[in-house]
Amino acid sequence: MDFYIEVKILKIQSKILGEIEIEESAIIHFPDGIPAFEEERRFAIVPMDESGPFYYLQAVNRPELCLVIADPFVFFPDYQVEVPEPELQRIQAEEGKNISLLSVLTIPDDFRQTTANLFAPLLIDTGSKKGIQFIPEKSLYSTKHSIFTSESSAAPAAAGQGE
Amino acid sequence: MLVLNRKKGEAIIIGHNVEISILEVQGDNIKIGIEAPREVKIFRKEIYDEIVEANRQAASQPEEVISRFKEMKSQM
Repeated sequence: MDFYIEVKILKIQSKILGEIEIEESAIIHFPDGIPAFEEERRFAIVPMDESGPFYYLQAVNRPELCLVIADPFVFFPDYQVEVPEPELQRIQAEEGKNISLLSVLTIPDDFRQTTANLFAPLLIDTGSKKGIQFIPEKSLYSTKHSIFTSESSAAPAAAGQGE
Repeated sequence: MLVLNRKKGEAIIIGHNVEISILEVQGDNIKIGIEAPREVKIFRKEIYDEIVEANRQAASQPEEVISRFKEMKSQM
């Protein structure tokens, strides 16, 4: 008796990765897109290396939209985010069991000054395959926390957000 | 831009399901109540704009900067 499983593979163009193949079932759906790119709803998350905390967030339909993202807890072990219920429901998270938290990185020409957006993390439910960029009403964090300097182990930014 | 004058206690409806109420007016400070379906996102504009700018910046790096980052990051 033969069993067949149909796996749909997508070919995606990426300005950084060139042409990549992604399984349709691995695509993450962002129902609201992300701020500045609200119409982009489908993204692939591609690891930068075999291990390590860096990934690419590649828009399926827009080759030039490729963000570098990272696991924030590797750089900020004390990072804490409180996510309200409506946001969890937006990504159909069941008690937050399968939630991944990832931060968008801004990589300047001097990459040693790379910063992570801890104010508005990406919330991804790996079960429902849905994601949002969570924007809190207020936060102790800013949109730019240095990941490579000793500042990364410091307390969250004092009052206010961003710069 | 549509410009309306409202007094405390009055309201505005947008579409058929977004309702904005003027709750309190104290000098320059206005307390606004918003009723909308859960899927309608509501933010203070300056905060949303800040995330827009951060994402645009993050998305605008040339490919060679990212490549260099990938090669050199393990040395950090």
